[in-house]
Amino acid sequence: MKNIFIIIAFLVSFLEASQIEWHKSYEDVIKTSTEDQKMIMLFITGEDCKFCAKLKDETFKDPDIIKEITNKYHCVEVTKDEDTYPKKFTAKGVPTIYFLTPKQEVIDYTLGYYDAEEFGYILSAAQRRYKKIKDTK
Amino acid sequence: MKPILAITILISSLSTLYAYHPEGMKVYKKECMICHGSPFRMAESRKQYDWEQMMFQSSRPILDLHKNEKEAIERLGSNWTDKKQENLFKFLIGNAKDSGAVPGCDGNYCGP
Repeated sequence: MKNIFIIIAFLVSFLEASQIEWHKSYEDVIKTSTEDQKMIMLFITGEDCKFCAKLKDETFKDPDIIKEITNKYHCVEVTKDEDTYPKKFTAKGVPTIYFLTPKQEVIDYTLGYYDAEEFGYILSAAQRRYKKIKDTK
Repeated sequence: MKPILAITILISSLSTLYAYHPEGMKVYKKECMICHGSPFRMAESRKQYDWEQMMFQSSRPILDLHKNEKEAIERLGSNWTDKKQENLFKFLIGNAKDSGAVPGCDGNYCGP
């Protein structure tokens, strides 16, 4: 019986780390981020956006990216001109991704598709900037 | 005085053409992104004039600016070319804070 629990726990932890967990709404992500002070990744997509799909199907499925995002970000996906999120986060094209502090200050943003290696650099740079901001406060 | 004015006008007019510069973007992604992060945010961190000043401050401004940063010099030093520098500045100037450029959606990597 004990072994079964261990296997289930292992499988659950494996499943958790195998994909990015998306919050249901912008409001929801702000609430959670305020509680644990993790950064927010606001992913703005559009209808029939092939590079949004490519980003989700390739970059966001990379194990290193999943790990980095799971550990350091709360994520929410919104559709441009459809979902409710602050208008100040404009998207001149899609995919646009904003990296925000829990207080919704913009740390960084990206536009377009990036492969996993490039996206990893962007995540690291955003984290460095966030740390710098936290250290100076 | 006239040549300086002419060069300034030429650069300003050319910079509007630079807006999305795929070659410059590629250079940025390959050489700069590991430390500086997102390309468009980096380009928007300065005005066109500032990038232009940087571009003309020496013959190889990027290497000069990073001369005290060992990691950057190791990365850039051996394979940094004038062509890469030219392309990089075209991208940075074209997407500077006051460029008025819409960050480049050219259909190859994002959409409207």
